[in-house]
Amino acid sequence: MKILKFITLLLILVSANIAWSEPRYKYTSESDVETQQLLVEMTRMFTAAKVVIFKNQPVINSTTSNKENLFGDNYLKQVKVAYQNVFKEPFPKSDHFFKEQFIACMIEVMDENRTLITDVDIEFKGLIPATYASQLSHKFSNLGLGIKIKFTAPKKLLRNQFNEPDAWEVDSITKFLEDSWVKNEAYFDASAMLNDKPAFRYITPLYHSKMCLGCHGVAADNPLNKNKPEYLWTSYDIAGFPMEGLLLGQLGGGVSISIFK
Amino acid sequence: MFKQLSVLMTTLYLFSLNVSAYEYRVGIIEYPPHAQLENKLPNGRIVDYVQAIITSHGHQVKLSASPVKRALKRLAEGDLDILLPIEASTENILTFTKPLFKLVPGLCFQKQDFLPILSATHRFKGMKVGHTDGIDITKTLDGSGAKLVPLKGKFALERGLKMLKAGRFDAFYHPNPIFLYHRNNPNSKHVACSYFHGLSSNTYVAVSPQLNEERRVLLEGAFNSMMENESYTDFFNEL
Repeated sequence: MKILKFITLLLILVSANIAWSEPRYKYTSESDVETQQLLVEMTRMFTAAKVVIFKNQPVINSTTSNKENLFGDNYLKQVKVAYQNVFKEPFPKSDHFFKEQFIACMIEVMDENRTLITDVDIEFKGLIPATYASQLSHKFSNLGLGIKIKFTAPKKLLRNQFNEPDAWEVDSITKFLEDSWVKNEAYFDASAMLNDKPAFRYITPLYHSKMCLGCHGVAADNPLNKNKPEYLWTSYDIAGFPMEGLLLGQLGGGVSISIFK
Repeated sequence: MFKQLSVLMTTLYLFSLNVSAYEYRVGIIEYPPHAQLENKLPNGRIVDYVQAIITSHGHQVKLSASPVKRALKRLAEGDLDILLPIEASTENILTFTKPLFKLVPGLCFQKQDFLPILSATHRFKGMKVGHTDGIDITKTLDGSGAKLVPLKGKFALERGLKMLKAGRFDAFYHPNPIFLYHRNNPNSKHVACSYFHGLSSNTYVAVSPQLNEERRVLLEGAFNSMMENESYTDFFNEL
């Protein structure tokens, strides 16, 4: 039995190696439903990874803490726990090449920030959920696999020009802002375009949670103002941006994923 | 039984690699500080990295350097097996899937002046930012109101860093500071860098379409395995 398992493992490794050696990944799916499910899971993985970054802010910004739980498998374990806690279901199986690559990118982004995270002289590292999300999306989207992920926002709330929404995303965000749109409902488009090429597109609205308000909320939410008299409060966040004054539950943007057909 | 079989299979695998020892023809594109030409021969950390990967699998390396266009032609014709480093992956070039390393421009600061998030471009206004002359400066910085100071000469980067440490610049623009702000680089004791992440691009190993499929798969596996153990960035920054 063990021999059989070993041979199966070998075959999987060999086939995986062959698949990975292709310069381009051609996405195929049985149905639009299957594609949508993949996109739902990836969006949730993205969100869970951001939650871990938020929860670990004290560790990330510490100059003395042990940081090993932020890297490699330890980090992934935290993401899996966050996924279960947030979505009340187990972390998805790595049964798709995109998911495998996405998980690898999550870990790699943390590793690329290792020097900063472990820097004993710098307190605020700037590795917050939004910057992590941007780094992860740029890294994954640049793999040349025909899949793009973007952490985007309405233009008036945009802080990073590289996350600017395209026309399809602007339309989707506009829909999310309509009273008739059911809160938290995502939008899937199986016949959309991206850069003039046909693509599956999926965007999930993001509403401001507590983890966002420290930077995007009102002065009272700003951690820099904690324990200070109100006349000394600043309306600039820790990164130096003017706070937008948003409230809990207000739309902040969306996670947009596109797969070229 | 399982262990014995594993050892046997691994031995057979390694043996099969060794008996089919092959001389990989590796093209190197001049890419300082990773690959330079010395007496027309390529050297540098990227060359060391590739050689380490290939020779550890019992194969040989034949190095040659060419300008990009000619190198790509040689690769397409099968005169080279692999070529590196190639920036970005285009439709017409076959590459290994995983990038060799990432290129992200950034700004380096003295640690006490560190700006962690560079999308806060309003904070650049009035800053004196040094950079080596002749390199592309990202528009984000160029149009930010920062005072850009180009440094000429062969050792402009080193001089720029010295000037930064001496407080003569508020920041220094670097085309890829991950090779500077790295835990193994002594500069990271005094200097910290942050990145324009939206401008990231990847650097790849390009492969000849003429290279035998089996060799290509094995070579890519060897590269992936090495990169998992020690990334090129870590290798470059080894003391």
